[in-house]
Amino acid sequence: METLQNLLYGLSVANDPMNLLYCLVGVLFGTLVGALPGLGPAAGIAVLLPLTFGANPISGIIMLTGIYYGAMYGGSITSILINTPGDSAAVMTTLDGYPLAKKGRAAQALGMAAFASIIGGTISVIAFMFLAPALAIFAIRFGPPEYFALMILGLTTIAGMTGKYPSKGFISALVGLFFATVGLDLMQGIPRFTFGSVHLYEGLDFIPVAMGLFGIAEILTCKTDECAIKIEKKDVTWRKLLPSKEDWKYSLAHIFRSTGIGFFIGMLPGAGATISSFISYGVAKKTSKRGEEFGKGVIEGVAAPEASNNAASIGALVPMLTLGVPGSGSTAIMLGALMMFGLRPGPMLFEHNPDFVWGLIGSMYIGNIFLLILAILAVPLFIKILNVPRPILNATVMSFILIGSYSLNNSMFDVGLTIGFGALGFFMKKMDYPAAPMVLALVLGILLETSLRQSMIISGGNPMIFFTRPVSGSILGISILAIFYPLIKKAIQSYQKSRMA
Amino acid sequence: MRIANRIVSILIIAAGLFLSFQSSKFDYMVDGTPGPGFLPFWLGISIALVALIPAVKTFTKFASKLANPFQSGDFKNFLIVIGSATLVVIVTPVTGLLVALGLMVGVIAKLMGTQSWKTVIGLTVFTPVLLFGIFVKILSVPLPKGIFGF
Repeated sequence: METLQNLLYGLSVANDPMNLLYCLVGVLFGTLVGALPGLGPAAGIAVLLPLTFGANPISGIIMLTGIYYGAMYGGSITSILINTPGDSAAVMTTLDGYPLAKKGRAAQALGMAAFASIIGGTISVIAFMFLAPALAIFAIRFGPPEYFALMILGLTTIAGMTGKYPSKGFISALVGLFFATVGLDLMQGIPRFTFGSVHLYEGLDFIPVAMGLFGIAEILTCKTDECAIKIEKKDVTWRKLLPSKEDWKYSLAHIFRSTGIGFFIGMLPGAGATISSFISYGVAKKTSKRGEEFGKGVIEGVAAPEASNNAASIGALVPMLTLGVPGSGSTAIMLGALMMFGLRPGPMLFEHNPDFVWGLIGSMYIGNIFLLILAILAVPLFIKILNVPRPILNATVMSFILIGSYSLNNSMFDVGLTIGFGALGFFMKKMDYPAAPMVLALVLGILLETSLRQSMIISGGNPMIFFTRPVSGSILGISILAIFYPLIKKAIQSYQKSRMA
Repeated sequence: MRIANRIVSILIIAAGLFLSFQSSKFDYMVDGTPGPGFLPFWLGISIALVALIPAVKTFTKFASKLANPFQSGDFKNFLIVIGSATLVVIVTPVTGLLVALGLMVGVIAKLMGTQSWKTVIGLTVFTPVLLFGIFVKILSVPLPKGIFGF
């Protein structure tokens, strides 16, 4: 009851016209930044931070969180329309979003991405309200063995992305894991595979790799006529823009499941929206009735990662506000902003600044409504992009990809890297080497190696540490189940068939 | 496809072995725990081993069923896009990034099939303006400037 009273109070704070304006600007700007290739929520928050200097803390943080979850949705727009993920958390959306667009269902994919994002976001806000302090303490207990187990769980999703030739999919993943080892070794501080280039000391950034392998490779392999996605005017009616009843039937369970996964993984420092979207996609593929069709354009392949990445963006706020521990680059900037406003995130924040905390929670509900309205209104505009002649679209997208990769670190080296991975993506696509396992392995690989080595140091070199700790043991158990699940499923089905006969 | 697959597989096997060899320069174990050379070493070996599968397949009947992935004209787009993008990297120190990107957009649009010169020139001029508005004015990204001062 007290929570509901607090929520009503929070909504009244958030309903202040100035706060509503800040929320709208945040969501709008976040969606735009998210849609620009290469720029993620962290860049958006950093750019708009100066605008909050003169504002009161509540208005400021409302705008910053609006950017955060707006960007999570915005990333899906370019993923679906031009196969170029707007940010890292939207990579999985390209796998089914773009094939859906090719089938002429871009509008429904965008609509489902919006609804899934908003449902995921809203449920997470509810979870945030009731469970935040308790969950934060649990999440902070995640040590290296648990992270290692989580990364292994993430890697099991590769099995579902290997395409026509599993061996080529696994080679792609192994090469991705190798790319993750490039850069300064975190333990000894020695450069590995940098070939004397200081640009590689920090490792390979995930975004140029994803933009090259997905975005540029698509432009290179796309012959003008074959790839033209024409949308007729009659198809851009409001009725047709919304996901159908059947779409909902396929997606709803995945949205709820992915929301849970996203919210939990979002709370873990260092894991975040990208990893949660990978894991959610993998779980959705394994649990879907039409798992084999994933990657060819199924609507739940869009719904699952989108619900997950928005849920993760709310989940990441839990340790930030309750413990003062940022879970990602974006929340780290937000934490800095909170301190700048004179607030001290931590267990006492809920008691000392209830107007701030509950105002923020209230604004998240309102922000999600803004996001839905914005998404629905803008879908017809986005769809028009597809009717731009292919040479013009390719040329323009290429310029956004290159400038986006430059703006990551203000480095021409990243531009060269993006072009290089674009060329690699072209040959991979031609030779049937799937790109998704490489990207997934690159993201997970860094944390995988670090947590493996940290765990072994903790245990004095005893690998049993992964199995004797309850949480890591359970996650590894789930991972093993996930690997053998298709075989078990097949065995059960053939047993049932033989009994029927 | 058979020859292409064979060449690629052999290259991957060689790369895997090279990586393993390179990683032997780093500590394999440190105080009984995996060192910086541990994971790359096994990754290199694994890459080489897994790449044996498609390599072996090229000697079986399976490979003869596969069509050649490279059709005539496939490399046209590749050369246009990768070539002009590479030129962007080369000329940026002189022209600045925005001008280089504008020229790239015009070249790609024209060579990929845009007939109208008006459209090509319009793209060449207005794309940098749009990028300037978004990235310089709104997002305050410091782009490399050239001899034109922007």
